[in-house]
Amino acid sequence: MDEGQTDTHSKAQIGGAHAPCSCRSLHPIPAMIMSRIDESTQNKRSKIHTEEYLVNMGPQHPSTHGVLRLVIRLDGETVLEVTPHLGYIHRSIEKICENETYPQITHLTDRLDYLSAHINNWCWIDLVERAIGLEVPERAQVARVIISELQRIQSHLLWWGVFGMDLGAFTPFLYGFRDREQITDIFEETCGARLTMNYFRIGGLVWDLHENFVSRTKKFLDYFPQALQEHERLLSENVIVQERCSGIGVLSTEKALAYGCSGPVLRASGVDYDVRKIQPYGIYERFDFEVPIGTKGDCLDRYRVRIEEMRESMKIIRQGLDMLAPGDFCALTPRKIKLPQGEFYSLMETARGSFGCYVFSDGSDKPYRAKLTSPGFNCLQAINEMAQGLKIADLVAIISTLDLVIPDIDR
Amino acid sequence: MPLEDIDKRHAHLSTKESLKPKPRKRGIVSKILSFLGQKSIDGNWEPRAPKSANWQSERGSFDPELPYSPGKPQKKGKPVANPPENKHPSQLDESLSLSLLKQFPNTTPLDRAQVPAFMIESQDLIEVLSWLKCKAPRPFSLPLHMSAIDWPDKQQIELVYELRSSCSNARVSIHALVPRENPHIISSASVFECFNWHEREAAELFGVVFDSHPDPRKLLLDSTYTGFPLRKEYEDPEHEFIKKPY
Repeated sequence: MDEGQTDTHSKAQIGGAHAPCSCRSLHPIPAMIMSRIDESTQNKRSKIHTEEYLVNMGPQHPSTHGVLRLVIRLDGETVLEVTPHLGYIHRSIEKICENETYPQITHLTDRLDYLSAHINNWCWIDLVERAIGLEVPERAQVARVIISELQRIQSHLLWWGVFGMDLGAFTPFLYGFRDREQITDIFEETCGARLTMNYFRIGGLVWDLHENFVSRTKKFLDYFPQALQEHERLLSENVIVQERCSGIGVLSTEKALAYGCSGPVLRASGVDYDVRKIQPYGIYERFDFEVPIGTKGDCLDRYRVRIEEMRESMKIIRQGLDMLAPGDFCALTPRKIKLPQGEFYSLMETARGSFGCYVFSDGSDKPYRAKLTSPGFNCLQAINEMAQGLKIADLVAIISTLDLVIPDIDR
Repeated sequence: MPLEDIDKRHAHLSTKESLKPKPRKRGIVSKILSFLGQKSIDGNWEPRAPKSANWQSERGSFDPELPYSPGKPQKKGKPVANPPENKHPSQLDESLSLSLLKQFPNTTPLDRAQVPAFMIESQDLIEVLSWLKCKAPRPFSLPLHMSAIDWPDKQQIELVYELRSSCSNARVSIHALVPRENPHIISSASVFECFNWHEREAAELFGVVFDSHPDPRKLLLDSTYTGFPLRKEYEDPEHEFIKKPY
């Protein structure tokens, strides 16, 4: 009688046909990850029957920044495997590109990474300009650099606020948006939009910079260093942030390279790779700035790299305002833009990493094949590598420091 | 440079008349009058100035049909007639080309791209990629993307692998052809983890089968979806709707 009772009990505990934790035939845990799991958990496992279970994080989870769905295989609170499920906002932009002319495609690119809308537009336009050999006026070149760097600061400010909120602090969100609002207002005055800009055109800009642009940008530059200091006091020196980020989500240099990561994620892992330095586009070779590099590749390094990037962007904007002289804002362009036959490529450093456009042209006014490479797509692949053996709360910090924008990944 | 100096330098921007937006004539009367040859309603009647003989060359030598600029026409913009002058060239690396051809004799260099591009045999893919990753004179350790191009005329699908060097602006692109009817190629996810998802994307959008892929599920599309959207015969239903809205 007693034996029968224990039998039913153990069946219910194990869950019918499911295998108990001790014999993981489907997905054995690698030794490397087992070593990360602390000893107390291991001792518990030897005595008590535990069972793996799956948890759906998203697609509506607040910390997934959009509609990212992560299926997490857990043992207690320890993450054994993370599987991202994509495609909730797949709009098939590459197929749409095949039916649109080159100038028409420009506005599709800012629907990818809407926080780097200007830079994405510029990447597409740069491809067309170099393919047809169009020379862009000086004023437009300088304005593009200034606006791109403002965009970078704006994107990092949003990330900074949301990072604080992901870790459980609501205040940084308000401070981040307070400062970001100033840049968004500058953009709104200049190009009429706050998110999907479509301000750059093939040959230059759609219209000249607003007359208030320089004064407002300077006002922001006067204000922002002090605000950044305040941000640093609020989060960077916070003990809880330090504890939750240092040593968490380490991505080694080899793995960061193999996964094709770019931007702050790659630089935090110790690779000195910035497209603005390695393959300068526009007039970036005239600017004097530095590329912050991390050493450990953990969440704290990724955080610090982004904070330092904002300071470097301010440097670039100051130099850019110095170079800005009156002149033409747009070159003469042919009404019907046809690319010569062949392959064309452009690569740019957005706030998230290297955004690339690849076009195979058959000589007509529409691309035969367009491929848009987004930085987040490669970075998200590495999430399993980073999160294995850590807790769910650490996974949230990792997602946050990857700075994902889901439309950019799904395309 | 202190910000006050920048201020002085740009003081003209708010004062200069020419940079302010000018009011545009939109009324029907002004349109008719300008058609008849008058400059404005208030001004004196003047016959329209005859076009100079070389008006086309004044506006630029490219595309004589429809010169066009967004915004007002500019004087200094220089449309260049003979293009491909790559602004940031990653020059064709002679040593790379030579050693790759020596190592893999079936490789043919392509000249259609702005970067070093090579067409390889599809069975050599893993060897070529791992050679480029580790043993090339300048290793290409940073993968960028992998994609495909559909060629319905030739009945082939072309696969493109883009690699970068992590410390210089060197790039290389590797091309391989597979038949369109039965597109099979070995998965390269074992060499570069990056290509894992890119191959899943190419598999669902083009129908290429990657042998020994670690995770051959659909990535972006629904698992019940049939058809390969990026093949040329696939018609975008929404686009058809836009073409015939009535």
